[in-house]
Amino acid sequence: MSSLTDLQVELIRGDIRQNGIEMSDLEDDLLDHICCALEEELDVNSSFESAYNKIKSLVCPNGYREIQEETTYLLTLKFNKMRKIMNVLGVIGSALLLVGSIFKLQHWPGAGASLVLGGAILALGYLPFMLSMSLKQTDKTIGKIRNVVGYLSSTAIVVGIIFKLQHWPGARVMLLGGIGMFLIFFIPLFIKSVGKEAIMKIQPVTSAVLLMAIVSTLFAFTNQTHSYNYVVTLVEMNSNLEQNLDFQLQQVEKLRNNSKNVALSNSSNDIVDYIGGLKHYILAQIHPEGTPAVLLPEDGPRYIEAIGNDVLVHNFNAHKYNGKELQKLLLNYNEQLSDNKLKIEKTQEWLISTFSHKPLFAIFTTLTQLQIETVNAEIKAIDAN
Amino acid sequence: MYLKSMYSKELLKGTLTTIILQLLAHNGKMYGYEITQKVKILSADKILIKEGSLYPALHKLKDEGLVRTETEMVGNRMRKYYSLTDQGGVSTKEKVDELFQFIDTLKVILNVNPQLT
Repeated sequence: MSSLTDLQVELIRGDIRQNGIEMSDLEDDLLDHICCALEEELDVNSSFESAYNKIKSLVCPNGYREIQEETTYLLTLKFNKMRKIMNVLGVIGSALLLVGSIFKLQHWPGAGASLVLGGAILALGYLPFMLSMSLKQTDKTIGKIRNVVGYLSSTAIVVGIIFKLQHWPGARVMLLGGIGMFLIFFIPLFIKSVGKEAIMKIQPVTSAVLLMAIVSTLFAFTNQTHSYNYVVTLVEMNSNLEQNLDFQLQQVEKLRNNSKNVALSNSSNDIVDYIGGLKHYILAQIHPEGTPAVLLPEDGPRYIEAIGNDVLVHNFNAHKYNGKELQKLLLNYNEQLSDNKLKIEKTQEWLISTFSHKPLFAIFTTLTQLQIETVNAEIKAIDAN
Repeated sequence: MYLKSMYSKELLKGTLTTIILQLLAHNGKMYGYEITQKVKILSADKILIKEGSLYPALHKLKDEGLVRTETEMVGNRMRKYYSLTDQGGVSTKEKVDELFQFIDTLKVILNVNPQLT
């Protein structure tokens, strides 16, 4: 009987590894088995290559990886019920993420709860379980690193999406870190260690979960594009408007001396001050370390739903300055005006359409405009008398 | 997939573990390739164990503590011998008995050997 050379044995070992066998126990078994079969075959077939290909297709017509998967399946059979539950949880979690993203875009209620719940299910239930299962499939360092990297990056992406959509700090770092780690480390490691054949056979549930997570990420990143020059122009426009306001305030100051309607002037003054305070309050939320006096171009394109939506549209009780109070002041002011009333409505929809889902430059411009209109209305009222 | 042979897959599916255990009980220690060849010879080519079923089954048995392994260098590669543990010996006896009983029951049910008349 022929005997294989060291080089031939190493070639076979390399091929077994290349094709996704990561359990060294199984690798030894298969190597010896293939070698035994090959040595018999070589007695009748002198070409190593054709003999090896024949034996390989006999031993595992669907690739070596299938044998490992069957082995892992048998070894983890006791976790089967758990695995089924986790698969269901994974699908529910990513579905909640997706539904939450859609609700978020449509401003329907319940978006936040759905997102946080979905993310929590994935990050605390499905992904750790997948990690523990996948670590049983490999005793190679590279495989373990790959699985941990895959776990960390997918968790960072999921948690990042939640933070992004809920406007909690740190979202950007997590998302970029997660996606970067996934693309730069996980995918090359995955391709290297699993082998080309196996890539086509990724678990359908895993791919569904991944896909939904990616779609949610895209949702999180939509509506974010404004060219920098455009933003700079708009931020400058706002600061021009603010200068304009200063000038008007000087004018109205002179007029006020002759005015009989002190209450109106007080209200007007209150609104201008309140909006000034509101702007400063928003800037202070973005820059807690040191608040700039004016809106900066780099902050202009920010969507401050975290702060803006919260402050101006939804969560009034939590903020010293808020949209409801502003609306109240403006409506009150309108009642004092006999004509030239401001275009303010009583409804929540007015707040939403004016402030919700807008970048900072738009919100600041709107706020400055409200200040100017308020002063204008006061000037006109004084002139009319 | 489990066993390739003249018998149907469903028929043989539940017997692979018992076949492996019994072979180990009779032969002491065996390596994977040896097991497939032995079954082939004993069954006169009627039962061929596929590698895709043999090794997963062996690893499962090892995980359950029914078999143990020892390695030996054979030329330039490692050969892994499987043998029964004490627990495996007990389990083999139970499984083989169970299978024989099952065959007897089948005979009765299928009326091959009618005794109850």
